[in-house]
Amino acid sequence: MKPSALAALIGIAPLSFTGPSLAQSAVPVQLRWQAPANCPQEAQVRQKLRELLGANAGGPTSSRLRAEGQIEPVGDRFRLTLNIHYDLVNGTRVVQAGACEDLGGVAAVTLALLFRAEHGSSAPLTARDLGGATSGALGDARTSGAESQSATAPSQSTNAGTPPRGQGATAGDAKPSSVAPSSAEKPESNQQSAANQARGSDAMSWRFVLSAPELRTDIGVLPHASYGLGLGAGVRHGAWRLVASAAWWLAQDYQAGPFVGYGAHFNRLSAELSACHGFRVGEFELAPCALVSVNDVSARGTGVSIASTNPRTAWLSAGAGFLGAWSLGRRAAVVFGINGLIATSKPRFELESVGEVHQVGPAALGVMLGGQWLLGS
Amino acid sequence: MPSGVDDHQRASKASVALALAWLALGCEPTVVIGSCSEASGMDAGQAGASAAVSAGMVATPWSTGFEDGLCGYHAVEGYCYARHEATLEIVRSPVRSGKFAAAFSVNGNATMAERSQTRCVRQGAFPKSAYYGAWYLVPAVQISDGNWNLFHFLGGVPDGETHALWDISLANNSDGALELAVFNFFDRRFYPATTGVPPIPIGSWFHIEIQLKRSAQANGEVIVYQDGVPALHLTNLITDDTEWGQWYVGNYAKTLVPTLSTVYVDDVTIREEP
Repeated sequence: MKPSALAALIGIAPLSFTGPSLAQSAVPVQLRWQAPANCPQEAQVRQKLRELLGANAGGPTSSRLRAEGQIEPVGDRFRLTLNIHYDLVNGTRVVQAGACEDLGGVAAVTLALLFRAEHGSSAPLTARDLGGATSGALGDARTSGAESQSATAPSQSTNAGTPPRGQGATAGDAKPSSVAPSSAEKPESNQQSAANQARGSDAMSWRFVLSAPELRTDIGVLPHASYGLGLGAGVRHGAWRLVASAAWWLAQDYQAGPFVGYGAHFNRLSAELSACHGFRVGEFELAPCALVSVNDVSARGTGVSIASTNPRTAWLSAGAGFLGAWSLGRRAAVVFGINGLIATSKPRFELESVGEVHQVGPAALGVMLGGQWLLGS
Repeated sequence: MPSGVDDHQRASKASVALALAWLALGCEPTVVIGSCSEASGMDAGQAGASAAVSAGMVATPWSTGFEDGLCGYHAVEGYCYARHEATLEIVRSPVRSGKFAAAFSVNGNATMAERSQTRCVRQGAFPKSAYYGAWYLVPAVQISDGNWNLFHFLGGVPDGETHALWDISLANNSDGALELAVFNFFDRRFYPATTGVPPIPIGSWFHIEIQLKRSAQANGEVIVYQDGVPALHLTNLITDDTEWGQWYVGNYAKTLVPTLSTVYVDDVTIREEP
């Protein structure tokens, strides 16, 4: 969103409460509100938020944002404390104004901007986005800014954080009296809202995920620990990630225990389908995953007078794991995964005259480190 | 709670348990990744062996010089094994003939719960009278408890009860040198001092052969040869009271000093004529 448009959106906020509508419109952000009787009430804030978001707001559960707002009188002024939560990330914004009517609009605009930021990128919202303070840092937030703001400003603002990514200002910076738009600016705000509406719709659509390269290692499949290189592709929708990947593993030689000189040469390919649901913790995302994997192993028997046709076998494994992602901007992340898989088949690789060379284990434990790339809008 | 709900829950739990069991146990298909090459038959005995094996008979003459690795045994339904820290290796040196021999290595640590052993086994109905021979190379003198076994015969029922018949082992004489010792399991008698032959050579190949005239009555005969010279001759005794048996060749030890031992074996034979 451009700063000018943002300013327009912010500026119009206080004026919107002049309307009589008190409808309890459904909004995607869970909101709890407490304010003196002469200040905007929860229904008005919801209505304003609904107006700002427009039709792209989605259902009541289309956002992971939650907020509690409280307006308190402070001398002859009013102070809004807005606690905002995004999964496990928390932030607080404190804004003071001479008229409490302004503060309802500030809250609505703040939440609207955060909603845009949430759906404008697959990267997670951070504590800085929410308010520049982590959970329990309200005190820090209060000391970080506004008390030093100009007393001549019509509205003193205490902004504990920085604006949502890409935004030129925050709702906490709002100066309703000085930047209050003329009625002519309202159409511009509506245009911006329409643009955001389209953008939000895109954000809610499926996104392409490329997972490459993937450095993998596991134990339990081949006789020794295996090392492989993988590549994955899939889609992401909100917190869900569905990726299909393939891995090529380094071949390994193995001697069959006490029979020195007898053994096998193993080659291995694998494919995996994973479905993960992420939970944000700051810049990190932790995602439990369900996994289905297919291993394809060929083995050539080795030893004196042994002939081999290099037979191959494949089997299915299923399991679960965790995927951790550290965002490196909006489109890149470093991912780390650990998983456990139960084999539905445990092939025995046997060498005539020697016996069993290796049997696939009942379970395998794997670790993956790689990069993840988000493509598309 | 209604019984229908109980039944449903029980059925669900059973299904989950079955699914988990299926996942945990799974199937275990066998993938044969290598077979004895066709050339193996050249070393694994002479023509007609297969037919004899199918009838449970040990066909003669038979020999293996490990030129086909362990396939010489496998081809005639024999097998090789190594247990309790023992290893079996097909080596290119030393060899008595051809390109390969077998190295049987054991750990003669007396504190081990099980006896370290690695041997190759012929099994079936042996001829009424036959010569069982192998070439051995012992690299160094070691102190044994008298049961450093090289040949072992047992008899009984396939996959059933068996009992030992004869052993040919290495034992230290009064000078510490190693000599052949024969143990008769029928009279539990040990023959440590074979006569007329020197201690076994160290570091060079020597031949051990036993002529076994099998008999369940007291008219059997045993002759042990070392490098073709009779070292022990026993007559008019029970030598084998079974119809099916096994002949073990390799290395088996309980107590050795030093503990690690490798013996090399080449050109194992069974023949009915001298």
